[in-house]
Formats: sequence, structure tokens, C-alpha cells
Amino acid sequence: MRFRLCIIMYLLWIISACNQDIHICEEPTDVKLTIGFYHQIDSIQYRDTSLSIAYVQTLHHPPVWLIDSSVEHSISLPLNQLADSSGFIIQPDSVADADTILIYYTRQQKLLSPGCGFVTFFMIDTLRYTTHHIDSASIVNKSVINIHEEHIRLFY
Amino acid sequence: MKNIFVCFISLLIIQSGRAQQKTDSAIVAKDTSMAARPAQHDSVIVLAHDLRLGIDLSRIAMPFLQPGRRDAEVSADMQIIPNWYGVVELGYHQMQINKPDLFQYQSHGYFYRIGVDKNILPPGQNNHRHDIAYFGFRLGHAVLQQTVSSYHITDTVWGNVDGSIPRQTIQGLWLEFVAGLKIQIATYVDLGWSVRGRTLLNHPEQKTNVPPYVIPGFGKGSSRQAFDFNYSLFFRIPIFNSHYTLHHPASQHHTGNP
Repeated sequence: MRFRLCIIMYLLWIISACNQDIHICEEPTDVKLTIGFYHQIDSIQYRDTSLSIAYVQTLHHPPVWLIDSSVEHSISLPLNQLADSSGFIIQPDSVADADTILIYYTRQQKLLSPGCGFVTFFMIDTLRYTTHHIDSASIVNKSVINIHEEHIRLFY
Repeated sequence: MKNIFVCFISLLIIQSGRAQQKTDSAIVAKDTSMAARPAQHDSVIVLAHDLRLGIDLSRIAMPFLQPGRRDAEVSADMQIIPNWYGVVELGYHQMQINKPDLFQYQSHGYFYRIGVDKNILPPGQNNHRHDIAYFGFRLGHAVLQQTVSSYHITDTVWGNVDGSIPRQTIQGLWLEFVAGLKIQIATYVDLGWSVRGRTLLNHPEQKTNVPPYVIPGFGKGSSRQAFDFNYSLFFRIPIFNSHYTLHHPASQHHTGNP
């Protein structure tokens, strides 16, 4: 009797495991460009730093304010899924001029899972920026598929 | 639903018991007959080459487990040489996911598997038995066509994204290990079950931005391994019989005391 009960419970478990629930999203769906702030010591050495930010806004009309009065080591910004480039204005505290950064990339929509639906993944092509306060910038990770990895470094 | 399931499990367990009983009686009969007859070097058996056609009954439950999904699977096997069976399995799969706020997905495809099974039950006298307990291997191949008629991505900063993805054709190739039981329940009618483990040999998800939800005949498209359980009804069609010679090693003669 116990053996038959074990068989029934085992098969019930198998069948319940087969029932893929398409209504639950278990994967992270946030895909954003992560920018880290660094201080250049010399041509080789650098250290991470925090930037006192007055605001960060999108470079389109009407602009959208993304960050307001914050001190951050890094920021995560959403890329434009309807175009192959995104522009942002970064205004540090206590300075007059803001810097503009332009990111050019290719996009691909991908089905994350039946429960989560589609997301857009980006592959960074080039980076342009003004140098009012930014010394230099580099792309450290071209593939933008989540929010956890650092993609661009700005050196001040 | 509960009664049907209990009946299904009971049939499964009864089959296992019947197979063991027939094995025991066959061994006893064989032992008795061997004691009465003198040792033989060769024996000729009649090998039945019946065509066994099967339909997977477990696929009938698929729409209840996964709404929007339809599957069908049939099989054909025949004994080639004693205890070795050649097997061909064919099937069809259809899937539809409708989530108006996210996406609408449709897919359909076909698959086939070819392989061999090895019967591990000892043969009965005159080879009248048709029950088999077996393990085997399959090579599976599937072709799937999928379409995303619409998808929607919410973006409060730059604007929402709406689009569609045209039809894509994807292929899957996998290796499969099978173990199971087929028991005669009536004249020319068998019932059987099998458990299967599969591993993908190619990477279909790399050639598309829409990983297949299900690879027909394999399972979940996002996994490289899959496990499955089948419960099938078989119909045996006698085709022809052949005579097969079994070669037995010569028996040793024991001499008296040295």
C-alpha cells in the first residue's frame, strides 16, 4: 500500500512540475545602461569615486528627469528602445555646465520567458561625450542585458 | 479526474506485477523442461515479426496541464532479431500563448525519433510471449515554426514598444534514453509505459531572438535536458514469422574420481 502511495505521489509531483506557469515572471526584466564614476589618478591608475549630481535628464523633447539631487558611485539609465541612440545630460553639483553623452547601439527584442514577455537587449557600438567636466570615458561592457553589470566608465 | 488517475496508476502497477509473474513462471517452466531434456547445442525458435503500432495516451492530458498546447504521438516497432526491436516514433505539436498585455505566440511542428529497444525479459517457450521490459536509445529530430503576432514592452521614459516577429523555423536534435514496459492485455493489444531522459545536441536558441517555448518531441525549449513519461496503447499486427537459430555453448562432461 505504501509502495503504491509513493508511486502516486511521485507521478503527481512529475505532472505538477510539467505544468509550466506562464503567468509568473521569475526573471529580472530591468535592462538599463549602468555608468560608473571614476577619478583618474594618472594615465594608468584610477579609483572609483562618487559624483554629486544635480540632475540627469534625457536628451529629447520633452526631457525626462531620471535622477535628481543625488550622490552616486554609479547610475543606471534606460536606453531608448525606439531608436538606435540615446542621449543624456549629466549636471554635477556646484558647476555651471552640464555634460552630454550619446550612446549608439543596436537593439534586439528577445522573449525573456512566457511569464515575463519581451525585453530589449542592446549592443553598444560607440560613445560620444562632451568634456566640460568629463576627462574621458570608456566602454567596459558592450552588451546591455541587465542592470547589474557596469557598461560605461566616466573619468572625472 | 481523480478516479481516472487512480485507475491509470493501478494499471501501471498491475502491468509490472504481471510481467514479474510471467517471468517467474517462464523461468520455472524452463528449468523443469531443461532437467527433462538432454543438453542441446543449437535450438531453433520461431521469431514473430509483429508490427506494433502505438498511440501515446498521456498526450491527451496535455491541454489540461498546459492550456493552449496540443500534442500527438504515435509509434511503430518490430522485433528484428531476438529481443531487439527497431522503433520509429512520430508526433505533432501545437502551442498558442495569448497574453494581450505582453505578447501573442503561436507555434506548430513535427518530430520523429528512431532507435532500438532491448528486451531484458527472458524469452518464453515457443516464443509466444509478447511482453517486454526494455531499455533503448533514440535519436530525435524536430522542425518547429513559430510566430509572434504581436508583443508589447512598456517604457515610461522613451515610449512603449509594439511590434511583431515573422515566422521562424527552428530545428532540434537530441539523444534519448528510454526504459519501459509493454504488456499484452488482450489478443493483439498491449499497454505500456516508459520513462525518458533527453539531451539536446544542437543549440536552437542561438539562431533566434525567440527561444522556442517547446521543442516538439523533446520538451521545454529553454532547457538542454528533459525528462518525460509516456503511457501508450499498442496494437500488434502479425506480419510474418521467421526461424532463428540460437547457438548455445556445448555443455561440459564431468568424469569420475581421479
